[in-house]
Amino acid sequence: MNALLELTLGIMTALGGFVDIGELVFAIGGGARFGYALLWAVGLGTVGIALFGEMSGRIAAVLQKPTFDVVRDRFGFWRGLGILVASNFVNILTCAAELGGMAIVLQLVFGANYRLMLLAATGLLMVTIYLLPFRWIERLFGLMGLTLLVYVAAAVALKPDWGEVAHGLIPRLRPPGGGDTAVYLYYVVGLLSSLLMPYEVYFYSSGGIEDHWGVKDLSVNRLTAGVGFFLGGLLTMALIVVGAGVFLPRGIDPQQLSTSVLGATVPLGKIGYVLALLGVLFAVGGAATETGLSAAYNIAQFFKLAWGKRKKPREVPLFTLCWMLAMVLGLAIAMSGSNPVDIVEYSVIFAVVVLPLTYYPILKLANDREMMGDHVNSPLIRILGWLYFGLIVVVAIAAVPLLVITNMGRG
Amino acid sequence: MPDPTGCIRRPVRAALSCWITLLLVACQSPADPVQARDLTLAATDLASLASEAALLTEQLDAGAVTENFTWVHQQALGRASLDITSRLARPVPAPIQPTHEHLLQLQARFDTALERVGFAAHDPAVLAQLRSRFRQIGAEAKP
Repeated sequence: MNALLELTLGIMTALGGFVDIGELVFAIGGGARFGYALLWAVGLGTVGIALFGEMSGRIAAVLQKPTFDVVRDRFGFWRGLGILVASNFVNILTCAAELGGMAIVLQLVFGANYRLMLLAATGLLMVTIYLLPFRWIERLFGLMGLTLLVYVAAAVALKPDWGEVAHGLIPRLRPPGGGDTAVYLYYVVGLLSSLLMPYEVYFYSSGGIEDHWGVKDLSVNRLTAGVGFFLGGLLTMALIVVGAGVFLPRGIDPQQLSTSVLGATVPLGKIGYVLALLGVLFAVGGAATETGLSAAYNIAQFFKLAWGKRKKPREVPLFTLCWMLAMVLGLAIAMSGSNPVDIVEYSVIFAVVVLPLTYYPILKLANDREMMGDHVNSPLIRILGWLYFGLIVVVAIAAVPLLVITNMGRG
Repeated sequence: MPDPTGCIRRPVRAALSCWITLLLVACQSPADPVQARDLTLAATDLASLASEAALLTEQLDAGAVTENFTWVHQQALGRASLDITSRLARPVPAPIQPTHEHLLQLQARFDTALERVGFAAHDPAVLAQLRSRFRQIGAEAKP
């Protein structure tokens, strides 16, 4: 019974922690621009993150090696250092966007000054991370993030044409109805990148070690990555349906985080409003925590320092300093007053450039029979892994030019 | 013997050059005149903001959102409107001046109506009036 409860909690945590400000922005915005035509990209990205998430969790369980350990082993010190700098740049930028998102939600609730709410949000998160053990940090944000399921209820309440929704699952490289192809592809890239963000595998694999995963936990890993991420993908699809149902008919291009709250309010009224605010708060708060901790995990693992929330802060002083510094840097960027939606668009697009460097060592190691033994990738996973890696490389090349050509998706 | 590192460095250099070129292309000088396309994009953005403001008054009237939410969201829409103004604050060629002027007038009407939303939280008649105004601005702004 305990094992079942643990597994259920793990899946729920993965689901609740799946969506961050990047998915909110690109999914709702994509639905508002292109209706259901981007649903296939969510499906594609969800399979990808489940695949690589499972691989990184398996490596952590079998070899007790988190992702950045693998990156350093595969690329060597200097190239690995370059990847570390690039990955942590993206982590901190994403952290800034998530902290900004938290501040906006607190501002919407209390009507207070944005920068004051930024300080409050960052302080609250830092105290939470400092005091709570890893498992409780995961559960707090993961389980409270389940309130985002209000968007699934909103999507159903909008009574979409389910036939048309299903049609959106068919892959296409041009938007329906003759829309702007470059902007459409920008949203495809943005969605794929937000679903495959590097910090997710850094955090997932480090979390596996924090949770003392071993070979006996491989089925837990498989179920958490498979079922949890699959359900998270469904939630992201619901965001697209909401964007298509609420904003597209009204000709609204959602550029504010507060607009996404209206997506649940319109079909569900006050209860939708309250749950959406709560869900967004914990989703972005959880993501801010993950990105801050991921930055610290990466540095500590790369330089072979002692790390882990499972240890007391005084036992891992440099690791503790690193995540605190990451959050302070995120706060400093958010304090500039830039719209968190703009910050996250940059972080998502630049993250996709780093993606091949993150996923390549995971794939190589998970394919290595000498290292992984019986737990090496099956032939099917091997083929899927390489196909996805090819896709990630194509997306990485296209990302920055699309950002520039489309003026950040505005056309 | 072929140099393998040269085979890798050349494509990397080519890719970097393309990216830097694209980034330079994206840089816009303040002396660049407004184009017709800029006006179309600005009009689309204004229509979107007007529609969103109408939606906000609807939800406020229905009691679904709080006054705090309204104030904060109203200010966010106001900043987005300001962003449109700053994008259009460049030299305007004669042929598109009438369109440019009309757009700025619509925007001024939008800003004036937007400022009143927060104050009308408990006044359904004013909210209905503002909603109608936003819808009209949105319809006129649509390119």
